Amino acid sequence: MTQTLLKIRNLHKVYYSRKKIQKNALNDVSFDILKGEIFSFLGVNGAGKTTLSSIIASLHPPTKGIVFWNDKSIYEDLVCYRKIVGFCPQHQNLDYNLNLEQNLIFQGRYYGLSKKDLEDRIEYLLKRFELNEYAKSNLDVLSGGYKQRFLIARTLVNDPKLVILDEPTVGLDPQVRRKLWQYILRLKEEGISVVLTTHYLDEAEVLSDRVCVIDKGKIIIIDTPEKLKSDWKQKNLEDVFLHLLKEEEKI
Amino acid sequence: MNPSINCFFQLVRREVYLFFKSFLSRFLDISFVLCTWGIVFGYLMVNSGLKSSYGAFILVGSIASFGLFETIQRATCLAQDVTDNKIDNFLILPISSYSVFVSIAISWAINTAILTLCLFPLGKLILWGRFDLSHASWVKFALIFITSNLFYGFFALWVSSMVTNLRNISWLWCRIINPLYMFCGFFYTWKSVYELAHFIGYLHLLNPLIYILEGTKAAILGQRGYLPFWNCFFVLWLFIAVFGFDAIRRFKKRVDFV
Repeated sequence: MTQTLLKIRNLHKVYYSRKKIQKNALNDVSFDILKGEIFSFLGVNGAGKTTLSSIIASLHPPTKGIVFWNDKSIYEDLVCYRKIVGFCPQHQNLDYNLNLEQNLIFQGRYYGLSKKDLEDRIEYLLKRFELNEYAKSNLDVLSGGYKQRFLIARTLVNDPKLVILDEPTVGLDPQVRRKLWQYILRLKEEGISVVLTTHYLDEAEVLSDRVCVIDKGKIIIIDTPEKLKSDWKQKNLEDVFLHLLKEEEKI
Repeated sequence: MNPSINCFFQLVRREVYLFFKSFLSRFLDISFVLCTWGIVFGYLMVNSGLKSSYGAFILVGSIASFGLFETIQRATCLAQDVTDNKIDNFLILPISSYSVFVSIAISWAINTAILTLCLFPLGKLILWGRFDLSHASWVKFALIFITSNLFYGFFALWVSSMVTNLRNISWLWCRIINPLYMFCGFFYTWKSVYELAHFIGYLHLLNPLIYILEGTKAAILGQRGYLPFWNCFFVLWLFIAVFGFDAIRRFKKRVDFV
């Protein structure tokens, strides 16, 4: 039986501007994330995908609701929870003052990795993401695709059990996107749970075990891509998605 | 080691590491400033009728107020990191998000302290016999030195929390740094202002920098003529708490961290 890694219950997120409600970004969102699955958030821009993933990453707090990990709220032992999470944000937040290797060294140190473990981990990650030749280079020399690749590598320094990838392939050419897909699929093979935020439906279809369609801060549906396609009698996920949004608009 | 403490230590370590990468250039910059002040106030102005001890007075003041000049650069860098979401990588580390901001302030304090310490022998070299250290209390100096650098760290953090628009930060110099600097007792003592007009003297007490300048001068040049050392010391800790608390409150509101 597949075990649950995270339970997200009744999440609300309201953004305020001068004490007035500016936006209801999430509205009573509940679902589970299973161990070793790739779980994707799909939605148009502004649907609440990034807000949701940043709450799971413990970057932002919800206005209401709880994220459970090991049947305890993550806010009860935030430090422990953060040790098992890796977050790859939409906007690259790499440290341009340091070269690639130094970026990984400091990231590993933040998580308390011993010198030997850190050396091994860095060697492994640079090799795995084919970044060996750039180890001593500054980040400026890397192309967009390589930077994104490196961002994922940095996310994995602490050997997380849950990796959150917020639109990891946005703006990249098809070849690089496919390469990144391979890396993401390999995470699953290693038993790591992946929360993927994307608005590329082909990407979600290829990678996801389950997809969660979000619109205006609400979950419309959660299911496997195959089940969605058969239930809605559509050829691909993109058609299902458009169909669902149309139905939602009618309601 | 506790994961939070380790992470805190590593965050400070990173800032100090980056600081040392540009240490030489920054040391040269500030040495130029110190030499200029020392030559003008220690030698040239003395010939125009100023007391010969004024050079030492200004030199101690410039060493004590050096941290203030670092504020704008630091505030700009941190505000940029917040705007670009670069800070997000720190706010998901195994440490409370509040501590991340505290670590930034403390690493800034350490960096300022290192630079300032290097300036001290340089100041003595410039003024030599005109820089009389016979009244110096090194224990008091150590205490006020640590406190004032911590103050600059948290003050820079507070200023960073106020910077929202990086296209226009001239207000920072015009409205905050310059008035604080001009009325901090750099060119005069608090006592002289108090004797001139009690009200203006009391008004000066609202400026935290007056406690740094007066406290440092009291520790190095002797207590006579300056605000009581221990008053300066304790009031500075109060300011550190106020600026630190308010900076984190503002960042919490702006960044919306856990």
